[in-house]
Amino acid sequence: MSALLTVDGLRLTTGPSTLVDDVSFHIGPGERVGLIGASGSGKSLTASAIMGLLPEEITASGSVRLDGRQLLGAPERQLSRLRGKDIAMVFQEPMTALNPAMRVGRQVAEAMRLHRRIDRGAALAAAVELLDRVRLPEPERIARAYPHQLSGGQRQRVVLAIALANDPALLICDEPTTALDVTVQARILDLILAGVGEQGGALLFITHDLAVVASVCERVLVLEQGRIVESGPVRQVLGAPRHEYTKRLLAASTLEAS
Amino acid sequence: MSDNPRSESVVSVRDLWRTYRRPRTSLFGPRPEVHALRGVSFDVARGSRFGIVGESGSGKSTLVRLLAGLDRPSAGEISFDGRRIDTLPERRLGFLRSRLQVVFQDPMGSLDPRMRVRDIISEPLGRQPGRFERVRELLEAVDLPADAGRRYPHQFSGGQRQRISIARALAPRPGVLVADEPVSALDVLVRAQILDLLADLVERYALTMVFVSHDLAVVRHVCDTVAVMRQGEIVEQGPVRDVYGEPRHPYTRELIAAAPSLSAALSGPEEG
Repeated sequence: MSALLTVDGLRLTTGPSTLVDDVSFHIGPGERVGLIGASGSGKSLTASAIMGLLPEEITASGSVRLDGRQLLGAPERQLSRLRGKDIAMVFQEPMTALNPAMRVGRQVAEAMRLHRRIDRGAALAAAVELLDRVRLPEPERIARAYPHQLSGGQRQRVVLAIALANDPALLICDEPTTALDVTVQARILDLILAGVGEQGGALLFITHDLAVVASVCERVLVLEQGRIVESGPVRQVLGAPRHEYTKRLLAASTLEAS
Repeated sequence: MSDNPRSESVVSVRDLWRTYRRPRTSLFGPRPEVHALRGVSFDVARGSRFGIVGESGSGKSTLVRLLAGLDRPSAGEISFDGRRIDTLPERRLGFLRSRLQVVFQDPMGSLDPRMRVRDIISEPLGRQPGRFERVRELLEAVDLPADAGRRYPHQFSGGQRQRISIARALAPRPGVLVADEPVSALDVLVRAQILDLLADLVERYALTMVFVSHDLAVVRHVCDTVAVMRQGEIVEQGPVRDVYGEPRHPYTRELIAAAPSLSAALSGPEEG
């Protein structure tokens, strides 16, 4: 089985400092991989590098290939054709990912029309269907709402609908539920799993929450100060951690609610 | 054990209501009302660690403001050491400010960026002689270096800034510490250190702690008693062991079931 995403020797630097150092991993089609680490470990930067969304002052070297195509250093024109179609992303804060001045249904429809020949009416109808798929109540009414009229959990469902609009081969989620209440978090995690599960998409899930990664992913990568210090099946890495840093993360996370 | 639990309680809240009026949405209709608290009652026993857990909109923050005397209830009573505080005018709340202190979620938002750390920490002491000696003690108590006093908040990490707010809260030697989501803005590794620090300080200074959080696991780790809030009401309260072990209210059960559990995920059935 050949990998869908292959990251090889990824190195991100700014001025004299190295932020991500020699990071290599791969994700197979339909595989769910978690990326964990404390803040500042380089999780989000790694995701930005894959999406081609690095800030200008950061220099990248190494290689990021999706289905054999090199993404690192690819021209923006080529990347923007992939983004939202082959790779989609869900961020922590849904309010900043949505356009505050556009009705929600239109934003979902736009995501489709950017990558497919489909007329406005059909796209809007498909958008309502997608809003229904992420279990938003009264999807027709929600489609006509503006982001500020929705709750945090509803907004994150809309963002997820946009991300799933084109059935991406890879969905990247960066702390998608950190800002949400625990009962809402549980529902969003189910939707993410269902969303990638139905279409056989792969998932790269970034979080600092080990309990979340253990419930969502099959394999996990542990990032400490820009380096992968341990990786493997979730049960192996979190059940019997070998690296000191993983042990510390686990010790800090073993406050349990049930 | 006393037969009358109220005599043992530091903070006593009876049938507390707080209603806000929203801005007018139509010219002629009445202004819509929001019931942030709807008849909340509880007692915080001296020396206990009392957790208040709830999701956003449950009324946790409104409750903290009322306990700290920063806002007035619409109805109901709040007593501190047997003394009603909800009826006292602001100028007579001075005693409360020295005996009950609050640590807030976001240390950067609650520390004045233009003040040196030693002035921030000694602020609740006014111009008391010996206040800088007290600052030195406090810096040591929260494990910050002695020279931290000369620096400014932006020169510290998030966890260190939370240590500064804790030191400031402890400065007037309060008997009650109210911690409002004190670790929610912090990284996992730092979170564990701050929770340990709070536990040490509560023990060392024989504090009563009211700990407010949306995080069930953190409350379970820190508290001995817990009240579960939803939409302005306490739906269940009791010893942490009982409430988490045998939750009676459906909402408590829902909350516990929704919290992701590492051990459950790792011991669950193998993926098919």
